[in-house]
Formats: sequence, C-alpha cells, structure tokens
Amino acid sequence: MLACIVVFLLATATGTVIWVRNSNRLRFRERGWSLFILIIGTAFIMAQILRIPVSNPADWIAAIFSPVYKPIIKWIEKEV
Amino acid sequence: MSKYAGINNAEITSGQAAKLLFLFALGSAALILPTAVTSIARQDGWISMLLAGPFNYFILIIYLALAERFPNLSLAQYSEKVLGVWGGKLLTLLYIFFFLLLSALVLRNISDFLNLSVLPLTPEWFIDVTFMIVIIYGVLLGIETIARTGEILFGWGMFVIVIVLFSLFNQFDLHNFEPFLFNGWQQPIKGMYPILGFPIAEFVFITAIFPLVKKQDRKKLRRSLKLSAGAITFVSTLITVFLVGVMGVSEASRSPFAVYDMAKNINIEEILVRVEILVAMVWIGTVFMKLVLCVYVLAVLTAQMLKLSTYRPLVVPYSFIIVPLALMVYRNAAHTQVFAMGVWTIYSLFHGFFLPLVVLVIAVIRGKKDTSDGSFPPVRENEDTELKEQNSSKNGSDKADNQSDKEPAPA
Repeated sequence: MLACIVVFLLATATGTVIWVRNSNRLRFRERGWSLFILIIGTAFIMAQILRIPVSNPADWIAAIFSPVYKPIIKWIEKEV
Repeated sequence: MSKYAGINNAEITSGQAAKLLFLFALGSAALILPTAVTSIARQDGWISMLLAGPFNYFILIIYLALAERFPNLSLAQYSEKVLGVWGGKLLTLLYIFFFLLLSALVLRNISDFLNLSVLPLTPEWFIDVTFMIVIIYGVLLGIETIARTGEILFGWGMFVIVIVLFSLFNQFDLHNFEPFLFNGWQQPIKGMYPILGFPIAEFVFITAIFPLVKKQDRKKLRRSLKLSAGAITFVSTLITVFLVGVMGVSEASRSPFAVYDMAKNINIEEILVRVEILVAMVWIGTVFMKLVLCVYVLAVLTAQMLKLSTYRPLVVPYSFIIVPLALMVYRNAAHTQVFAMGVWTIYSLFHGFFLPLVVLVIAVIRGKKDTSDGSFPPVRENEDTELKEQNSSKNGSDKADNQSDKEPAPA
C-alpha cells in the first residue's frame, strides 16, 4: 500500500511539473498528451503493485506472429 | 532565445550518426547475441556473424533511399505523406509500440545482467528506476548531447574490447573450432536468424536521426554508415571467434552473458586478473546509448505523430510505462529465450525491413518526394516573442495611461 502511495505522489508531482511547465496556451496539446501517457503509466504501475493481472504485450506479439516464427524455429531446431 | 531552444532541432555530424549506429548495434547484442548464435551454429557461429554482415548495410540502403526522397523528414512524417494522414498515423503507432517494447526489453536486459552478475541482492525495479533516471536526463538534453556522449563511449568501448581480446590470446585454442562446417552451410545460415532481428532490423531507429544530420555533412553519410556497418560485422565476428576459441562451444552456448564470463578467464601471470568489470562498464555504456536512442526516437515519433511542438514533455511520462513493462515483459529465463530469439526476430524484421520497404515501394510508385522541413517549430522563441509582445503591449497601454494622465484636459 505504501508503494501505491509513493507512486501516486510521484505521478502527481510529475503531472504538476508538466502542467506548470506547459501552462502557455501554445503548449496545451503537449500538456494534454503528456498527462494522458502519465495516467496510463501510473495505472500500469498501480496494477503491478496491486497484483492486478495485466496482459503481457510480448504474448500478443507471439500470438500474432506465431504462424511465421514457429515454422522457422522448427526448421532451426531440426537436426540435419 | 531560451537556452532550451536548440535541443529540439539540434544537429549532428555524419560521423556521430555512424558512431551512434555502431553503439546501438553493439549495445545489448555484444553480450547476449554470441550466446544465441553459438547455440544454433555451434563452432561455426562466427561464420553466421560474417554472413549477416552484408545485411547490416543492405537494410541501411532502404533507409538511405527513403532519406534521399525525404531528406528533412522522419519516418513518422513521410509515412503520412506516402500513405495518407491516417495510414501514416497508424504506421507510426506501430513504430511507437515497437520502440516502447524495445526500450522495455533493453532495460530488462541491463537489469537482468546487473542482477545476475554485479548486484544480486538489489531489487530489479530499483535498478530499472535508477537507470531510467539517467536515460530521462540524456533524452531531455537532446540528440547533440547523446551524440557527443556516443563519441566518448565509442573510444572507450573500442579500447576495452581491444584490451580484453588481446589479454585472451594466451587462452585461445584453435581446436575449439573443429569440426569446421560440421553440418555444411546449413547451420551457419540458421545461426543468422537471431542476428537479423537483433540488432539488424532494429536499425530502423536511424530513420528518425537522418533528418538531424547536418545538411553539409549528408554527402558523407552513406560512406560513414558503410564504415559503421563494416565495423559492426568485424567486431561482432571477432567477439564470437574469441568466445568459441577461449570458452569452447558448450560453455559459450550455456552462459547467459558469455562475453562477461569470457572476460573472467583473463589471467596474465596472476597480475592482470578480474578485469571482467571493464566489460560490464563498457556494456552498461553501450546499453545506455541503445536505450537513450530508443526512448528519444519513441518520444520524437510520438510528438511528430501528434503534431506537438516538442518531444520533451513526453519523456518522463513514457518512463512510467517503460519501467513496469520491463519488469513484466519476460516471465522467466525460458520465456526470454523463446521470445528474444524466436518471436522478436520476426517482429523486428516486420518493422525494420518489411514496413520501410513497403513505404519505399509506394513512394517510388506514387513518385513521392518532399524536401520540406520537418523539424520542430522553435516554440521557446515564439513563447519569448509572445511574452515580449504581451509586455510591450502592456507597457504601451501603461504609457498611454500615463500620458493621458499627464496631458492637460482639453478646455
């Protein structure tokens, strides 16, 4: 729980810095997207700390490319 | 002008770009790749490294051809011109995901290495976070600083590689290479598979660096990159030769960080011993370069896709994703082996070879060429001028008020 609080405080501090440093109206887009990415990252860290199961992107890639890489691996592992 | 004005659009020389490519290739590959190659091609692993050499340059030819058509634009920008706005954005999104995952994998490599060999009692997340702080600082300072750091690390890296390899001459055994080509050419060709994806196809990062090379220096770029590709082939082949020659195939293919273990064997008359930490230091430096370039390209591509005026506010938020991703991306050593040596090559080739080739072919068919400038707008300058305008207008109104106060009221 302490880790969650620390991460939350760190994210809030980072968000505040981003908000203040991009307070010029020319930078509203930068501020918005940065905070969006920050929120996703913070949620990701919180999920890991609280042991909420998160899908591993490596598994998505393995699933998408399995028709291509599996035959190659089979060929490589085949003894002559 | 603000002191940060030049960071967004800093310029580097072609030599610096070539050194960045060399360090990127040497980054994680130098320590991990020889193990993978020798486990497939056995004692002929060095032939696989040699055979993969031309591909180092072949893949760069595609990027150079794209850079000739769009000299001042990065991949995110010219893909929008070639494939249309939404097609280009979709392609850039794929690359953003690719670099996000690559950054996480590189960070995981370094934390695994430090955790296994140097800092066994330190939690992995702590290594990740501390390493990421340095990366954030490097990326915030911009490409010019990264390139200069690369120049320093290049010199040190080469020095240590030469010293380590020279020190191992007394342990070199040519019998370890026998039987030569025991299964014909098939095994060395199979051994090329991991090299193609890691690091060759990852060279796609350089498409975001090309527009930053100085205009007067671009003629030398092709030559510099050719030299760099040659150096990458030479050094990686040399490392594999020494690995097999010193450690033998069975030990080399079992060790997760074989080059580090090879350096443990250095023993010159009991005077020069335990110099493996030199390898660790150089490897940390080269991995730093690889990770800093990945995060830089990730932030720049995102900023260009979203039409932002600077990439800098995105760097810290991205590190909030990279660190937890690095912790979860590999479940265990077996998963690392399957993913890094099997899945990653195809995934990396898809992004590093197939997609740029498709963009190039479409650009050629549609006759697309563009010399427009894709650099970030000088935001800080605008902000300064805007502030000055605001101040001057404020002062002007104050003066007018003062004058109206001083002027005598009309009779």
